[in-house]
Amino acid sequence: MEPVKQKIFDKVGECLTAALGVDRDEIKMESSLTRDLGAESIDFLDIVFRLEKAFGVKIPRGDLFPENVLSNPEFVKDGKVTPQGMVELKKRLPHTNFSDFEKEPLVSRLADTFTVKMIVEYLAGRETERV
Amino acid sequence: MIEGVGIDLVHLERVRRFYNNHKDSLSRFLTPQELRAIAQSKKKSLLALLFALKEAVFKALDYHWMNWKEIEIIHEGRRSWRVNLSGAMRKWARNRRIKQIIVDGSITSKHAFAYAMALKGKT
Repeated sequence: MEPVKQKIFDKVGECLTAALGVDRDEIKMESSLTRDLGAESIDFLDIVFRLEKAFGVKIPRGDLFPENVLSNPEFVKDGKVTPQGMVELKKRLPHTNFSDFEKEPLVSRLADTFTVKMIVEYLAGRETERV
Repeated sequence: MIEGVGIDLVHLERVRRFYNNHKDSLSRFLTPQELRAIAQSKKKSLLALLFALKEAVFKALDYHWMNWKEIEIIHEGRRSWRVNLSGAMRKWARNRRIKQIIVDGSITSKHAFAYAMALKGKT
């Protein structure tokens, strides 16, 4: 891992340990916040607020995790994200890897795609913007 | 006709820790009216109950992501709550022909519990 991303990963790990009450060694780059680390709705708020404090950045609503994409009937049909919806998700969340999700794009599985790596990539992008 | 039912259970201790760390950020996920209710409430567990109520509404609407501020829950009296939807949540509910959302909740020494029922109107 690049040194910059390793540094970010270490700090993200501290935030997740504090927010989710998990052991530091449970947190891997590929860990899903919900499936592997047990994050629930209140935890996502906690994580965002802790990341903001740790990294000294403001994370606007919908920037790190999606908002309002799923409420659009063009983007969700019969519990699945439509191809149009996938395009929108990728546009709004360029730091997220949707390759596995796309194979079976059930809306109920979307939160499983939110990984530690996704947060690290997002914050690395923010660092680049600042430089 | 019932379109969806949601229930939720929140640990008071989890919310207490959250509050202690982020009390300056409540306005980012609660509406001004909800903030006033919390400030005026003698029950410190109202925040936990609001979390549980909102989560229950998300589940009843079968919505898979949290737009916290777009579900406003106002306590109107003993066992009486009003749910106001706005933005994307209102649009989502309208598309599903939801006409009414009924919620209620309860607080024990360790948990806040809530349920929500989304009722569909005539088509």
